Amino acid sequence: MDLFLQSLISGIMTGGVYAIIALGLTLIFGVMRIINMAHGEFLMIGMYISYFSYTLFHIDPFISIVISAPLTFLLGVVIYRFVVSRSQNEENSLILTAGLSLVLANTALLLWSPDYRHLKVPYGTEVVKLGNISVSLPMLISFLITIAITLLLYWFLNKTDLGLAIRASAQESEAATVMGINVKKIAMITFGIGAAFASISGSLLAPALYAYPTIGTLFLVKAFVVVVLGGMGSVEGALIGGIILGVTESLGSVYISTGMTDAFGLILFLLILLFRPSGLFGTATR
Amino acid sequence: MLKVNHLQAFYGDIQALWDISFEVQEGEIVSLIGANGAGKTTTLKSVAGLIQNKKGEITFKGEDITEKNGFEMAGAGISYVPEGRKVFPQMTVYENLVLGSYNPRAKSDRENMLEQVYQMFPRLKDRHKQHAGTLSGGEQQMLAIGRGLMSKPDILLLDEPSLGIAPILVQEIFEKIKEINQEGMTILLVEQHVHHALELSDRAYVIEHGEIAVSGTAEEMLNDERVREAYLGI
Repeated sequence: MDLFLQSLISGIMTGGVYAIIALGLTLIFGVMRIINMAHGEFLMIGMYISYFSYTLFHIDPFISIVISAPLTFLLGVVIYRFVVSRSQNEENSLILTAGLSLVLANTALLLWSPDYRHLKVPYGTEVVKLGNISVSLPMLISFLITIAITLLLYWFLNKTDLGLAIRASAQESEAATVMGINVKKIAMITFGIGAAFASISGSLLAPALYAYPTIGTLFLVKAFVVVVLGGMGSVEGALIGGIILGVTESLGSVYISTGMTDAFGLILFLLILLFRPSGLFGTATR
Repeated sequence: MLKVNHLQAFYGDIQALWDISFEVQEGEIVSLIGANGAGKTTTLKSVAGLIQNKKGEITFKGEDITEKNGFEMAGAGISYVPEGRKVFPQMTVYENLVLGSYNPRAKSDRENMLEQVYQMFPRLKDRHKQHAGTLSGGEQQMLAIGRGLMSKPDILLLDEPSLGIAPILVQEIFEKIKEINQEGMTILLVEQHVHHALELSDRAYVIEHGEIAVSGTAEEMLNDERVREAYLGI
C-alpha cells in the first residue's frame, strides 16, 4: 500500500510538470490552430538557461525561472513575428515549426555540445517525509510552483482583458477583431507565453534530469499525449491530463517495468484516440 | 456621418462590389437591401475594415478610414454586429459584454455601459453567468447587439439581425433596434426582412450585383414598383 501511495504521489508531482508543458502547447493551438512542433526545444532552452544560471552565477534553478521565462517569451515573440507568422495554413505551420525544432536543437548542439549536463543542487537528494511516504524536495518545490503557475494562468485568462482577448481570439477571431483586438498581436503574445511555459517546465526539470540538446522531442511527445488526453485547447484538461500521464508512468514503472516508462504514455495515447478521440474533457465540435 | 464613395471590394481575384456609394447621417437608420449575394454584407464588412482589398473611399466623421484595420474601428466609433451573431461561445454573457468594451475609449466607462445594456436586455442580466453558446438564437442576437453597444459606438452596423431567429423574437429584436435608434444611435442595417427593415428605416439603398440600383426614403421604397415586386413580393 505504501509503495502504491508513494508512486501515486510521485506520479502526481511529475504530472504537474507535464501539465505546464502541455498548457503552452494547448494555448498556442487554441489561438492559432498551430501545432508547435518546436515546443520541446523551448523546454530544452529553459533547461540550459537554468543550468548556466546555476553553474555560472549560482542562481537556484527554481529562481532562475524569472530569467528563463521572460527570455524565452521574447524568443518566442521574435520567432513568431519573423518565422511562424509567415505560414498561411495549418499544414504549412506544422512543417515550419518542425523545421524550427531541428534548427533550434542543432544550434544548441553547436553551442553547447551533445554532452549530458547535470545541474546538481545541494538539496537535490533531500526528501520530505509524510508518514511512510517520502517525497523528493526538488520534486515537491517544482510541484508547488506548477500549481501556482497554473492558478496564475487561470486567473490571467479569466480575469484580465488581455486574457479575455486571447480566449476571444481563439473562439471567434473575426468578432475579436471587431471588438478592437489586434488578433495578430495576440497570436504573437500567445506564442511567447506558450514558449515561456515550455521553458518554465525545463527549469523545473533541470535539477532532476540531464540537459542535452535533443531532450525536447521526448517532452513534445509527452505534451501531445497530455493535450490529447485533456482535449485540445482546454486549460483544465491539460492539468488533469498531465497528472493522469504522470501517474500512469509512475505506476507502470513500479508495477510493470521501469524500462517502459515512456511507452506507457504512448499506450495511453492510443487508447484515448481509440475510445475518446476528442479527449477526456474535450467537447465534440459541432 | 458615414460616407462611402465608389467603393469596390474583392475576395482574392473575385470582385464582389463594383460601385457602391451611399451615406448615413447622424441619428438615421439606413437600410441596405438586396438579394442574397448582392454585396450587402461585403459592404458592411468593408466599412468595418474586415476586407482589406478594396478601392474607393470611406470617410467617417470627416476622417478617411478606407485603409484602417478592422481592430482600429471600435476605437474610431464604428461597431459591427456580425451576421450569424458570432458571440464567443465558451465565454459567459458577462465576459462577452466586457470584451465589447475592450477598446480604450469604452473601457473607462465599462460599468456604466454594462448597466445600460442590462437595462435594455434584462434577459442578458438574468443569464450573465451562462456560456453564450448555450443561449437561444434570439438571446445570442441580443448579446451580439449588447456587445456592439458596449464599445460606445457612434454608428452601429447591424448585419442580418433577424437571421435564424424564432419569429416571435424577430419582432422584439426590431423593437429594440428602434429603441436604440431613438436614444440617438445611428444605425446602418442589412436585413432580409425587407418590409420590417423599411418600416424601421429613414432611408434605404437597394444593392444589385455589387452596385447601388435604387435609393430613396423608406416610404418611397415601400411604394416603388420595382422594390415592391422584387423584394416585398407584392
